[in-house]
Amino acid sequence: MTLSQAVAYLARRNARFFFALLAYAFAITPLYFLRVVHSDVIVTSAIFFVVVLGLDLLYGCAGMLSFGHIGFFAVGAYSVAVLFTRFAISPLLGALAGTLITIALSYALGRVCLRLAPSYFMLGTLAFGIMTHSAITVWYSVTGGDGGLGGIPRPIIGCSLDTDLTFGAFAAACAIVLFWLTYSLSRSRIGRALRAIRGDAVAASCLGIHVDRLKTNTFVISACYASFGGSLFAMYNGAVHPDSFSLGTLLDLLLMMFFGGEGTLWGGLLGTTIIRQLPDIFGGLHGGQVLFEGIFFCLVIFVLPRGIAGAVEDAVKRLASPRTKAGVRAASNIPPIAARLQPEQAPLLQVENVARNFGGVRAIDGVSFAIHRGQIKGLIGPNGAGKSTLLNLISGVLAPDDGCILLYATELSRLRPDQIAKLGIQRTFQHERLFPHLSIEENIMVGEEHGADGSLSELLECALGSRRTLTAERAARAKTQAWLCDLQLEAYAGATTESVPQGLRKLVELARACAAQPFLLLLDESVAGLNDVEKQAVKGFIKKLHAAGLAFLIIEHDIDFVMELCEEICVISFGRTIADGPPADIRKNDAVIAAYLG
Amino acid sequence: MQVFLQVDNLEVSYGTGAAVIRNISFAVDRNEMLAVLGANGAGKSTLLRAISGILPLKAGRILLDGADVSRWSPNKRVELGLIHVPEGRQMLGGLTVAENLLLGAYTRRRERRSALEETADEIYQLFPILKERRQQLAGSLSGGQQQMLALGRALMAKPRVLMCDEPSLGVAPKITDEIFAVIGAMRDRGIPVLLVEQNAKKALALADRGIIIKRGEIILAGPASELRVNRNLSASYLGV
Amino acid sequence: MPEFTQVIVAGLSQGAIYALLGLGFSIVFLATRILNLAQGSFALWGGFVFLSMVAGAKIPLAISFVIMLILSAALGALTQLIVSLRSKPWRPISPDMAVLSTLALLVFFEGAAFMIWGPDPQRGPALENGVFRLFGAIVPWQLVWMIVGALIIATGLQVFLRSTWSGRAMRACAQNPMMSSLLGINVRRIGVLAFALGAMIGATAGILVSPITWLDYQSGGTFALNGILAYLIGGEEDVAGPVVGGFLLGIVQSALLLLPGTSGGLLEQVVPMLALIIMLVFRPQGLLARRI
Repeated sequence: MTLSQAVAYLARRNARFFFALLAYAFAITPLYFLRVVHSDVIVTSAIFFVVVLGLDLLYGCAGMLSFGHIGFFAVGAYSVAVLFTRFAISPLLGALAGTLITIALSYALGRVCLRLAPSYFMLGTLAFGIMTHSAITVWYSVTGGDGGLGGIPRPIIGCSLDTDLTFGAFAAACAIVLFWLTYSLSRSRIGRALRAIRGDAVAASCLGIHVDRLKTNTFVISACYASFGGSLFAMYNGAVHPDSFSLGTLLDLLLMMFFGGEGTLWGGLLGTTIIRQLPDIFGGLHGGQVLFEGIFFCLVIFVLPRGIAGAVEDAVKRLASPRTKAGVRAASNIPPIAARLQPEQAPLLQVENVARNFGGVRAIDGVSFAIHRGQIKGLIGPNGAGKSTLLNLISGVLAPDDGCILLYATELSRLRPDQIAKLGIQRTFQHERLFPHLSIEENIMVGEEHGADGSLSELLECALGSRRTLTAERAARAKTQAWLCDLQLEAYAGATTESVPQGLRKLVELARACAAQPFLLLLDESVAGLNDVEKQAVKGFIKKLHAAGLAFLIIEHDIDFVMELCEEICVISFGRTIADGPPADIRKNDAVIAAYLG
Repeated sequence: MQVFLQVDNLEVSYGTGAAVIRNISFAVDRNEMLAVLGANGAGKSTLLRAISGILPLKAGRILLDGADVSRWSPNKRVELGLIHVPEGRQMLGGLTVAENLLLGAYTRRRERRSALEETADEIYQLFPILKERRQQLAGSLSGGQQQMLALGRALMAKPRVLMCDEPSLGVAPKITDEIFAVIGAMRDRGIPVLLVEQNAKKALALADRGIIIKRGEIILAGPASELRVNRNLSASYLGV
Repeated sequence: MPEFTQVIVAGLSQGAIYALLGLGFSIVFLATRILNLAQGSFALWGGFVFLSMVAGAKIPLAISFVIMLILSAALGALTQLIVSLRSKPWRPISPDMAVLSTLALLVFFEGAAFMIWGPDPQRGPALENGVFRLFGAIVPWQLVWMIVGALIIATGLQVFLRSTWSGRAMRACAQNPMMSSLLGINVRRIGVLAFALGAMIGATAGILVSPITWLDYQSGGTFALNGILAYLIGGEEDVAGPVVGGFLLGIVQSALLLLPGTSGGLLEQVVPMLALIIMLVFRPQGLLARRI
């Protein structure tokens, strides 16, 4: 991709950024000159927009609702204030120090809280937020306690940013740059990975996304946004006081995000400006405003959960016709994979004496079988026999209590699902798990992009839009189109997952797993609920993949389907293997017949 | 024979998606057990959930002893005697066996405690192992024991209609026989039973009539004796 | 010895408040799996309303108490209504949204408190004046009232949960709401009951603490977190947990205040929150195991 091509691609992909900014500028300019909206509102909107960007990245993309960002906001503000008043350090350096402190604090808080259930995550972050507020109020000797700290000068960049206009321009510039980077990130593979995590962290992990690391890094980055916003806040106001960092401000920030439109990023522009305009409407009646915000918040949550920007985006999506990419039928995606594998003899996957308990119930009680390179193996058994549990054990979602699972020589039982995915094993789920926050096309792209490492360098590269990432993205998009064509799903490319019928959703899930280029595919009831025509389509698809060298482990209740397709079938009942062999033998096996029919 | 549970033209779907239950109608008389069979994903569990009220109906109605309960909340249907033993046993894991049983009689809470104790004793006679583990937490029981507790809990309510969802799931064959015997005894006492099962043979051996569901519709219905020898049935299970 | 006794008694009495806050929180969480941040507001309003009635309108203590109980129960029920507005049995409200709405309510109540009582901190009349000597220390009877009050309520709650049908139904809802409705339990009504009970307990905490602490309109948030902390420290036992956790927290805080200078004051504020975060680290099994 040449430089000009890259720029064009980037501009097209991030079009909404330009629209939003232009629209905002068009709306705000006349309001400003008509003196409806004061410069104070615009400048503070820019400052809060920075914080809300971070919040929206964390919640709108990744689905983590943090109540602690008010604390990071305070850290940024007080770093500037304290370092200047005590040590005469310039505000910009103070801001830098604040960011560094925030990185350390947020990393620690993140490690603790991110692995908790959502409610406890909110609790932990809320505790941090309130703790910071309390500490500021009480730690008189450092923070000036209830009296606050004042006298903070504006930073000097070239000239001193004394006037509202100059500082406003500076703040706006920072906000715009951060907006660009964040928007770019959310449209890149990282954005897709984050939304995948939000939708279904387990499925995301099985597609090669390092969930923990990505969540932690995103949390730290969004905390830095809050901190930087806090520093700007302190510089603009020239003073800090604990009241500005209380629960009321937390609610303000959350309201800005939700009212504006979580997940849209640009909604923050609307949210911040409108909420910042409120005191003008209320004439400074603090209590009344807080009261109103409380009610308003409840209304937003119940009546307009997607916010204004969200509602706009939904409407636009409904009006726009689904994209139908006619024309170039790309060459089939199905790659020959035989070359990548090792010699014939050793089995590809070896399950040895695996056992797993759930409380008092022994779900898997010593199961052993093997899958050879390029083999289609069936796994059948009555309901509740433990088939899905076995798949969970192989794919790393659960760890075995006993026994081992070997992929050639590599022991899988201690690995994370994303590590197992990177080794070449993919799967589908019994109740299909598409990512509800991504379109059909984007779902498959997540598979095609082989997940995400979650490292900071990856995040940075995607935010900056390096040529490498853009080229990879364009290629991934093209390959995804090919997958959609292969399964005759082109019409659904831009559709949401809910609008697609059940049978086709399973096909999409299958395509997503295949896009990740595995050499062993675990299918959990991939044709359940499909009609005969759809089943034949899937069967044909599996045969094509098989011809290219892909191995399968297929769980199915449709016995015909299994018998026709599989070379070998393993039957389990009550967590134990009762038969293992070619279909003809299984069909005649008494134990099997008894287990099924009773 | 008086029809006790009647279901007319039921239609159920999850959210805005396609219908999972399409136009199902049947009736269960007193002294009758109706087996509901079919492959996985056919919609058997969904059917029971719609009847007990956990899932809303898109269309159709449900009549319980003449009363139209289609819009009633689940707990009101239970008060009328419609008892649903859902799939997966659904223990109140942090409570003891005795407490689970006691809560089974929640709709009878205004009766005297001694009456409830009597019913509990009957249950303990049916399932002696539960008596042994009376004070143990329900979550620590084995699969089969939990299933026995689930059934016992349902019986505590003195049901007027009993609906069982896959009681043999994950339960050893011997215990399944015990459980089926108890369910059969209920039918013999005059309580209509709706039995969803994957184990077709055992279910048809016990039931009076059966219906086969595929993709949300009834494709076959008739007396159990006929279904037992029906070729279509075995074909759909083992391709034989 | 006198100092030690002072610390213990002060700690226990403060702990009694935390225990009550924790109990109120625990009841709601138990029955509905909702983290009710507005619990702090119940305590705050309990204290303020009681104050207004007794000190302002000069209504006798006992009647004020009863009126306040009724009002707080109503408030609790209203909160449940608002929080569960959109939920259905087959599509329960998401945890994010539930907690958010309780946060919104917490702030709403804060604003309302500001409008009604203004920004100044308030303090109530003691329920019982007078002191007595214990191991050489001077102990106000008020503190004893607090400890006794907390223990009585805790015992009452235990009896309720173990020996009444509503209490058992509440524990069933905590375990498995779907199954509970299949047992004939009206899960929604149990939720309302839980919120009402929680509000009453919270309001009582507010009343008991008002004589010895300055309350202002922003105290709701700290109350909420202390209650949650008490619950978490004590573990998952529905009644014993918050009681043990609350008293422990109270004593630790009290001991910290012995430290010289402002560092004690700072630590007193910061340590509970730090402890909360630490609890989340060291009891991951207990916390993660609960299906939220």
